[in-house]
Amino acid sequence: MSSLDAYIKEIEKELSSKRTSSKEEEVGTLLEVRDGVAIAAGLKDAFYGELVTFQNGVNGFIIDLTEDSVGIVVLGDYLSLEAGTFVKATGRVLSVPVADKFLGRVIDPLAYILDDGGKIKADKFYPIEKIAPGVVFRKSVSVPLQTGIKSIDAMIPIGRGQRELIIGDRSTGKTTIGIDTIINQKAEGVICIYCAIGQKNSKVASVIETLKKNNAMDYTIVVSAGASDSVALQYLAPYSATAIAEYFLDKGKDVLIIYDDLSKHAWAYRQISLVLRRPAGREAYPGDIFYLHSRLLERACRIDPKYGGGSITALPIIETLEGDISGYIPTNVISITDGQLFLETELFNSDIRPAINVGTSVSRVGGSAQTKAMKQVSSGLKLDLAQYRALAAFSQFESDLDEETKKSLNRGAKVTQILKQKKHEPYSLGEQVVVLWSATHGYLDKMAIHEVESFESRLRDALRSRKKDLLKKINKQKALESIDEKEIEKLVKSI
Amino acid sequence: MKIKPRLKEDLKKYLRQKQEEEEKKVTITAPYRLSSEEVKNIINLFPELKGKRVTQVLDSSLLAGLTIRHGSKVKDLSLKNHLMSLENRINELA
Repeated sequence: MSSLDAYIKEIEKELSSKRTSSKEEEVGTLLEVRDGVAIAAGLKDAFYGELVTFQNGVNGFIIDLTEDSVGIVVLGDYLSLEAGTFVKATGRVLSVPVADKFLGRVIDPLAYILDDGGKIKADKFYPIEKIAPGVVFRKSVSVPLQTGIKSIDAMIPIGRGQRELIIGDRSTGKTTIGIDTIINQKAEGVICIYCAIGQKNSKVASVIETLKKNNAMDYTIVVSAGASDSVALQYLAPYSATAIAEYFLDKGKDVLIIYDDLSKHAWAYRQISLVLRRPAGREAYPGDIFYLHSRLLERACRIDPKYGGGSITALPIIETLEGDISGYIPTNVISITDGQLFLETELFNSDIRPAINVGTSVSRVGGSAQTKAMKQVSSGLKLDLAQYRALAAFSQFESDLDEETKKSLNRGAKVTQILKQKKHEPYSLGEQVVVLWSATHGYLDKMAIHEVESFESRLRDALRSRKKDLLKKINKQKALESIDEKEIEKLVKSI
Repeated sequence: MKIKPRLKEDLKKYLRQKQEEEEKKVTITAPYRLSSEEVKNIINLFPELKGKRVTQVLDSSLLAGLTIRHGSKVKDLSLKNHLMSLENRINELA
């Protein structure tokens, strides 16, 4: 009964507070209802992006302002609208409620709850569309974001505040890289947001299941606009997720957002533009398809500590067709991001997973986002692999080759093997450093290739059971001293 | 069917004329018929409504109060609106 009393007291307080309700409102009449879009007459003083309400309670926002009519994207059931319905402009920009309590929940782009937890009271309202922080507020990226995947952290390192594109064909492991990165942020204090755009509901459900199993949901928010949701929600989903990330950024936290995937986002925007009769450009995409993604990804940044600190790291995902990275949308997003991870089907099918093509993958931040320890062990790796790739064609003539070539081929094959990793098993910094140390110092050269996997798992078990202090020391100091190296040498020799 | 450009222009002009007439009109919707004295008092409260033609519409679902519509702007001072916004505020608290 006390909760009912408290509720009644709150209502009394709310009612006694004076709130002017006699303000002037813009009104219009609905003329046409198209697929997800409504055209209204009137609304003469409405502004772009304004939230509007239809007479039957459905919401929408203004996306088109023409001489005598207004185009409104309907955020709800557009089938329930009739011509002649009144539309009222609310005078507010489209915003999403944000609060700390959203961590661990699954929401849609308008922050309606999709899982079976309770309702959440909003702390603040953040606008979905926002201009990215200017040059003065930013600081260059220097803190690493550990993905837990050896090949990425060693050779294509990602820093906090960077945008790194994950690009590849279907079923090459793009979402898995994103999920593994989220799982590895458990002890790092990074808040993760997984934004699913146009994905199958079954896929989103299995992602949530994986995150729950690995105890990653405590610091993750899932923003989902599935394939059966309206095009308006799919269009808004990444902006909504970024608005939530900016709430945590303003508190000085580090945030990781994964946009899965932006190709479907471009399709949704193309549909809205074509229904609004905007002129179609290349591949029927509208003229501002570049701006669609550039304004989204520019909001991922690292803020200078004197303006509050914090960072947003974005990992957008793009799906290519037949490995064609010179398509329209892939080239657009490649030019926007600070690097890309190429995933290839051939590598995936040859059991090299994660199927990252180290030669063509780039991180424009590079070494500044690596710890000293990692730099010490990974400096020779990329060269070994490059030499291996150059000589790979000759591997069939193995008996006819000289010693140097044979050594390069052997080393390259062993390094490729050690960089393979099972999914949802991230490596901490210490484990990565020790494993790669053993590879670059030649302890794998004498083994047969099929023994490398068991060596690695024995080394890892030994590290976790006997050398916890060494791991803790490397994870904390992020540098390798010579005594550490001697300890590693002793351990590797004993396995 | 191709529309002659001259016809199109004439139609556009007619449409614009009609729209401007709409702008100048002021519509007061109330649950009962207002006397000319009451209408005059209301117009004096809002300076932007001076000198415009006033039409009255009856709508009993407003319960009490009235709405004033001029051009594309509406001032909703009815009891129905007040109760609806009250309902929204209470629901938000929940």
